Amino acid sequence: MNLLLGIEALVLFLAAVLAGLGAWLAPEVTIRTNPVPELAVRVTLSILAAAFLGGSGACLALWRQRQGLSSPLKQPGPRGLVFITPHTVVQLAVGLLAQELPETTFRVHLQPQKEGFSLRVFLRLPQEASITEVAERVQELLTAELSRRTGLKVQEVQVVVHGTARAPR
Amino acid sequence: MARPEEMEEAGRISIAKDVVSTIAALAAAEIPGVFAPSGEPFPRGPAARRHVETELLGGRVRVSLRIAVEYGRAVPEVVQELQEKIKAEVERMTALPVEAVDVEVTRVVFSEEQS
Repeated sequence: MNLLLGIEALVLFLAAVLAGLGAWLAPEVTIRTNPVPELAVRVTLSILAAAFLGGSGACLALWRQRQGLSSPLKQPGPRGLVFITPHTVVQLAVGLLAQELPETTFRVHLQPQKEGFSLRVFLRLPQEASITEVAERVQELLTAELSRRTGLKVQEVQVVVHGTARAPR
Repeated sequence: MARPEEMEEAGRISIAKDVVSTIAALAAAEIPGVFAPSGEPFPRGPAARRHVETELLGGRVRVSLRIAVEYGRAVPEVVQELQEKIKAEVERMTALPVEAVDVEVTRVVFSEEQS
């Protein structure tokens, strides 16, 4: 998947270069025997080049983001290096949240940081729940427990409440 | 236990990397809370070598292994115990100094997954 994104970025970049070259050279273009004005050719190809370049940049940014998410978080251990994959940290967070908030549906996103990581937790709370209270509990729990269980620094825990859910009858 | 220099007096001893990997894997299998990345108990035989890599550089050993950790256990504590156990076992059985034991924790194993 990551490789595909990298290839897409490269192909789009090459297309941008070709379109840019076309805009610079401005070849003669005719549509049904009517010649297209040189300016129109240049403008169209320039817009295409810019679009391809933008697409290539977006693919590259996504690729870099995914590379960051798949590479393990590193810290020195007493006898060698310790690598913990982001997936492991997310699993730990999910386990903790499932115990703490059994009636709440949630998703956890991890963003590796220069030192440690930050988390974004998306919650769908029961209707009667106090949002601020739950958010504070989640932040305190994840910050304390994840740093204890992984030895990594938890930079930030963002809580996003994106809806409420009725408690099951 | 003979030291390396004493061994050399009697002749050359070669230790294959696979031997070191097997020793490391056996040590890993004895640590509570350590599982194979698949979530199964850490294998003890040759299958364990899939998860263990050994480098021999200038007579020093560097072991790298991939593991899963049981949910509820603190990863730094488990990893520290694992690193110390592997270092001690490899040095005891081969007399080769262990430079480092790098550990990659790839996932967590929940109790309901354990057979």
